[in-house]
Amino acid sequence: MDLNAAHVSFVLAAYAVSFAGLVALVVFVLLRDRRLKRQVAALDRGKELKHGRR
Amino acid sequence: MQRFANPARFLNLANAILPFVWVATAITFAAGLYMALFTAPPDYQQGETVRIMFVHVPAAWMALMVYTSMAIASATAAIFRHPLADMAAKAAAPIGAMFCLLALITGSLWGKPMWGAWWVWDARLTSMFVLFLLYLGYMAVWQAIEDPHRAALIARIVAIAGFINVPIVKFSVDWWNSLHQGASVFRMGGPTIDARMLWPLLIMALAYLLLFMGLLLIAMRSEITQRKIRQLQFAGLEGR
Repeated sequence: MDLNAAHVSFVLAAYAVSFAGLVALVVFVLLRDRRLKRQVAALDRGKELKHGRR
Repeated sequence: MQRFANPARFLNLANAILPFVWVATAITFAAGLYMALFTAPPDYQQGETVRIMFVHVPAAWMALMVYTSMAIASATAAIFRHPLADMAAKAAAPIGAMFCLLALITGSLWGKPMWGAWWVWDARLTSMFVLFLLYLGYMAVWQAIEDPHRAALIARIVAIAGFINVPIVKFSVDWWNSLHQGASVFRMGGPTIDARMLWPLLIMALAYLLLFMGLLLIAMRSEITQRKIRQLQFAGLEGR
């Protein structure tokens, strides 16, 4: 790719936006999954403790 | 299909497939980006600007494909009561919305140097914007309605009714005069695009597809977890 060609900044901006958007999407999906897993583990622990007390 | 209606079976399958999907995604992205930026030639009219095509077109294809898959999943949920179908549609929506947003932004970045305008209200751009609004509307239904069964019912209607926009996006450049160029890959008579540009485009499209598959599997896993949390919370309330 010729970095001195006309309108190269638009090309670089398009790739940068795509990269940022896809990374943000991956991070959002992974963090949500992790948060929900932690939440379910905490609820499971609470349930076990409750049954243990009985 | 019904075999994977069991969430536990689906989770086992998803966890087994995911590492392979991530490796394939990384390889195809690396190969696609290398070909898009270094081996594909500049266009004789557009010059280097044509390279925007390799991120814009796959995002637009995926935006259409994801919405189509959401409509199919919603119809499957309505007809066959497949327990994972609503989850699949719900999980796919934010991913499709991001692809749609990226197609709109990169299209705008391509439009400015080629047409002299960031945005024009022509048929292709407007119908694509409507698709983005449909994604937002679909997600808003799930957020706004607390009862999951009622939310699923209304979300199905939005997904299936909104599908009418998908062929409008695809054929808008044929039905109306548009600044946007016509189809050059998926068209009667075969692709008109040079093979040196077609291959990087197809490989980038495959990379986007694999990324979607990986993210969808994780997002569906999250939906199953969320359902389990709701059940545990409900059981906890009942136990008091």
